[in-house]
Amino acid sequence: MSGRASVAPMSPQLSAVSAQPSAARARRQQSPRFGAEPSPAARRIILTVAAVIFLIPIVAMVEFSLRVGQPVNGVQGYGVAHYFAVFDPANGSMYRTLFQGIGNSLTICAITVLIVLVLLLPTMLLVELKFPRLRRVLEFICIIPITIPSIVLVVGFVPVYHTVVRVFGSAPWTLAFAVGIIVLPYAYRPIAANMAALDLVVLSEASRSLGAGWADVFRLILLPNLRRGIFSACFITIAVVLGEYTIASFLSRNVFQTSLVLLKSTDPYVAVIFAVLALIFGFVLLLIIGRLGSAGRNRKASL
Amino acid sequence: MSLVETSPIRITAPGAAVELVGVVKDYGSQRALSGVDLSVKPGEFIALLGPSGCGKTTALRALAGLEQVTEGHILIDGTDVVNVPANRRDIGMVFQSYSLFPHMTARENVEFGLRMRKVATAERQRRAQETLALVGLENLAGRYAHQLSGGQQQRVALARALVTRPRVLLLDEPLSALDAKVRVQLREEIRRIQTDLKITTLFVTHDQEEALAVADRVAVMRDGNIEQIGTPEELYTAPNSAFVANFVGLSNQIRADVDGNLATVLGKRLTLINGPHPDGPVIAFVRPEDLVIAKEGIAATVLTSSFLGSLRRTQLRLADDSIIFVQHDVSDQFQPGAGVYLKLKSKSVLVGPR
Repeated sequence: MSGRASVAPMSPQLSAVSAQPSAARARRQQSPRFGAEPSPAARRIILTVAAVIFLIPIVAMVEFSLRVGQPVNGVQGYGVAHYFAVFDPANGSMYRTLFQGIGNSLTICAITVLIVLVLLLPTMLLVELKFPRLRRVLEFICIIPITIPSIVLVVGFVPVYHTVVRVFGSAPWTLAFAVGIIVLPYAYRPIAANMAALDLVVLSEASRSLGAGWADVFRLILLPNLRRGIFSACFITIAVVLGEYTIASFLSRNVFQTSLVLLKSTDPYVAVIFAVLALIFGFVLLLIIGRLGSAGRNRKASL
Repeated sequence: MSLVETSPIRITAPGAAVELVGVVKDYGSQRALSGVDLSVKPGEFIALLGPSGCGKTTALRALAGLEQVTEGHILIDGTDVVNVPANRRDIGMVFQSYSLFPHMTARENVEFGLRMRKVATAERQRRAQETLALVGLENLAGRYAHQLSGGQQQRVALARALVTRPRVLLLDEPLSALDAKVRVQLREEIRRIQTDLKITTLFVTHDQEEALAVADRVAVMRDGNIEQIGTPEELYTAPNSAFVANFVGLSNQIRADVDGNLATVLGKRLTLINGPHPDGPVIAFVRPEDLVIAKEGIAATVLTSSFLGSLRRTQLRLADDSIIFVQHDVSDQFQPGAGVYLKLKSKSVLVGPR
């Protein structure tokens, strides 16, 4: 006679695709948004306050750089004399240190960006594709510099730079090695965010199964899809290089920032002019990178 | 097959023969594949079916070259490809997750494999358009992945895998992310295209209904091994183990007794499907459609009755409190609590150790 019986599971033979009821959708749309984005009016207020806070010092700097002479009867004269003075050959010797500093800073920018592209990016890709368990370790290593004050880093860099000077000399560009470490957290984050939005493993496997070698996988699949993160990392790197003062100063390198501080004591107008120009340069860079990043989505990829 | 072949996509040579010989794959101390042996004939459609973690995707990835095997051989048309990198195996693959390249249009995605094979621009555009037409997406060729539905993305992925006319097509649960209706439509299309192109295909799924519906043969996998391989009918009617009987279709597990070559199940003596078995208590695996609600037999009480479209499945409780499912015509309706009688229709039964 029969005994106890049980049943093995099976997928249901009938399944239905549930449609979203329109009434429920309407109710959800009408319900208050807790923790959602602010209302349009609140957005406008926040934007205006932020813009005012941001613009006041810039406008003040521009106003200061346009001042000509002392106020007469409380009336300040304005002009572009200080701007012309910067490019006057007669003042060449006065501003030579500044222009050298700018040249050095741009060189350091280029080398630091190269460090990011040649060292950090391939490392991140390698970890993502081949050693995903090391992702946390890499993130930790890249975040460390942000947790250490610059002055503490300088103390550590000084003995290191004794060796750097022996090997590479004391040219200002060698500062890129130190700055390359400082920018790690800033360069890592946008690339990591871009990577997190993509399934790079599947994309690379799909391309390999279609006959692509690793070089083609990087060139045609990974890099185009990481363009936005890479550009952002490069931009932030440049911004950090142009803003870093402590290390350059303590390692006695003439860069844009240090020369600007020196110049401030002798010609504050020109110092402010260059500070404004640096800001404009940063904005332009941001706009270009934003354009390039968004263009990537719309542009038809041509193999 | 020439890499720059210009013949239309439908006129292709039959697929390659595939053989896995003693394939072992270890992840550290974890063994994912324990000496898998599998032989696939040219143009055959094989489904690898099994629960999560049974090694079916690992086997597919090993065949694709995306996983290096620890031991064993993988032969394609008799050539061992174990040491051939993935990009040189000439195998098309469709992945479980949407894998279209986001920065390319559908057409550019499909063209990618041809581009890697240095096919001339005009030729690859023609073949890409032709293959997109094969999956019914010729009008969406200019769209990017984010402008396509999940089903459309998987069709493009299928076209992308087919356009190079690979020797073998691998499908790694390509339908699992799709809703039920699209899943059924797409699996029928995959089968149609596979039959049309005669391409050797391995299809990984954990959905037994899907595997039985499309495959010529189904390999049921368990713990890194192939438990049984056979046609869908063979697996359903003559499973060689309790695991297969449970995994493929619905089985009632009923206590029974073996005496000689016969098993006594629900009072009826049946021959054994799986050959001689030591005498004594066993578990009998009985399909719901092998039971019938009759005017006389074993007394039972109706618990629930579910309408499944073309049939009805009723859950019964026997006098000893055991639960049994019976499948019957939709016109026979039984109210919960009603008393009924149960009879066994089949003449043979699969038994396993209790």
